[in-house]
Amino acid sequence: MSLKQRVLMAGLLAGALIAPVVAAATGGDPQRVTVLSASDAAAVVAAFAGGSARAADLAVRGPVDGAVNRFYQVQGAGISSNIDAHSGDVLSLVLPVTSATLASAPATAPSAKATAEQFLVGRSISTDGLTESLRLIGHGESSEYVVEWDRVVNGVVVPDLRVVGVDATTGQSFRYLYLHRAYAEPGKPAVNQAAAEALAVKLVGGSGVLVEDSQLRISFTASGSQLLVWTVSLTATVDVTPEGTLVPGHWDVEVDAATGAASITTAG
Amino acid sequence: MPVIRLEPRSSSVGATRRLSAALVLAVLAAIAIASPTVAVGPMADAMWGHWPGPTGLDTTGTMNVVKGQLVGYNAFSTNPYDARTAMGSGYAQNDAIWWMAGHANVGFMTTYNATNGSTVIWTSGSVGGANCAATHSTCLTNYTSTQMHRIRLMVFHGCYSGSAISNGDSLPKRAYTNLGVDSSIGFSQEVGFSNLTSDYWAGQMTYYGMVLNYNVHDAAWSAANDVAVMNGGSFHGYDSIVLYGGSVKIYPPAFGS
Repeated sequence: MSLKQRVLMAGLLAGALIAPVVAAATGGDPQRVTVLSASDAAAVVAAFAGGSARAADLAVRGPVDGAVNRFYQVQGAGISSNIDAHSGDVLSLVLPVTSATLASAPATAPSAKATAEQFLVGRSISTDGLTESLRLIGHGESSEYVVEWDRVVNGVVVPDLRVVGVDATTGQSFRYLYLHRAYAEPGKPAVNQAAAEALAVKLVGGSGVLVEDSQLRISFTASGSQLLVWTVSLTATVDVTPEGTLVPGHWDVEVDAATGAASITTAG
Repeated sequence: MPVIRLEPRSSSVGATRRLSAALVLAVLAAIAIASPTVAVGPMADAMWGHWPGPTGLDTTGTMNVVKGQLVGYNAFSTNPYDARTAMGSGYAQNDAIWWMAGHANVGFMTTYNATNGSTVIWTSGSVGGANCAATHSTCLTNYTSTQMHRIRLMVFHGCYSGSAISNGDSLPKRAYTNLGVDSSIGFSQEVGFSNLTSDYWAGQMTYYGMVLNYNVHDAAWSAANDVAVMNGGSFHGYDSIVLYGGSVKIYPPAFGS
């Protein structure tokens, strides 16, 4: 039984009624039906965070809707977390740097990997079938080993992801991300990569637009229907200053892999 | 010899003046009660740019979010005349929080004004193409800690704004190390601008800092995770934080040290 299930079971045994509460607007997505209460959300996060975290010290906001799920935001005592209001999964956690963590030993790549794996094992979080990767990233005054597990099926990135960030100086896990949603095995896209990129370039327009990256992944509509989409990252020079400095622009374009409908999701 | 005229104490003129004085005092007292003095907090500038065109970048919304969160600061969502002005006495040199959102790249940050177009803040003259003596653009090396040390938080909110040039220097590093700002933030990857990315990160980051009193490190990372959860696992670059002075807090409102 997972930690989350134990906490929920404890609540049920104590007589707390966790009745399914259908929020006013689920968009018809059954995965967005709110099951978890706010107080249970705080209890789950406190237990998940461990240490001295207490549910009474945590404030709960929401639930709010994201791209693939509905979640509570649980915050306080230096902790921040998001927890799925339907499944009860802890979707993210950031732990504060404390005197205890500062006293820890610096990480190496193997020790960071072991620390991250222990973080998941200690919380009964499975990585079965996922592909693990590790990279060291500088963050200015600190650096981080990012240990990531993801899954690609038939060339499609599916919603199954774990990320644990280990501070390279303290050797401690300080951030965690979890994404999992049931999906149907993706088929072949009607719009291939070249066609998707051409549509994205056309949408941004202008000359000199370059494709930086393309990724095929699963997405969901507000009603919960599964989609296959291309995310195409583009760059181009948008301006030149009098000194000759080229001002770069970046765009992410989503192209529906079934219909070819394209839209700019972010610029930068 | 000057003539000194003494007005009789009981004169109607004197009574009127005393009455007037009493009325003035009463009105002033009433105003004072009805409108308690509002302390003007330390200044915060959230500076946007709006590059034109159907696919242009407009960071106004993100800066409006920041401005709205900085309760207690004398906060503005504003478009500076140019990059040099943004670093001048009306902005950076009088700011507790300095936050610029716009296009950027390794070693420089830009803003956009309808009159001046794109103008640049380079880390130093070591950035390719930099002209630290330009009329509307400038370099961080043009300024001293005497001018900038009162900045508590300086955010270069743009793609690759935290990436180092060949000599290891970067915008946030120089701001923190040489200009004496208490904390500084940039990014080492492309970061997205939209209501679910930049607006959300900035809003959450300042919420953690202002409402929950988290330090800059914890606030920035909490907000990055929030962006990923909101966007189905994609950080949109907000996990590429480049940060100095992470233990600094932006609440209560105050200038930097």
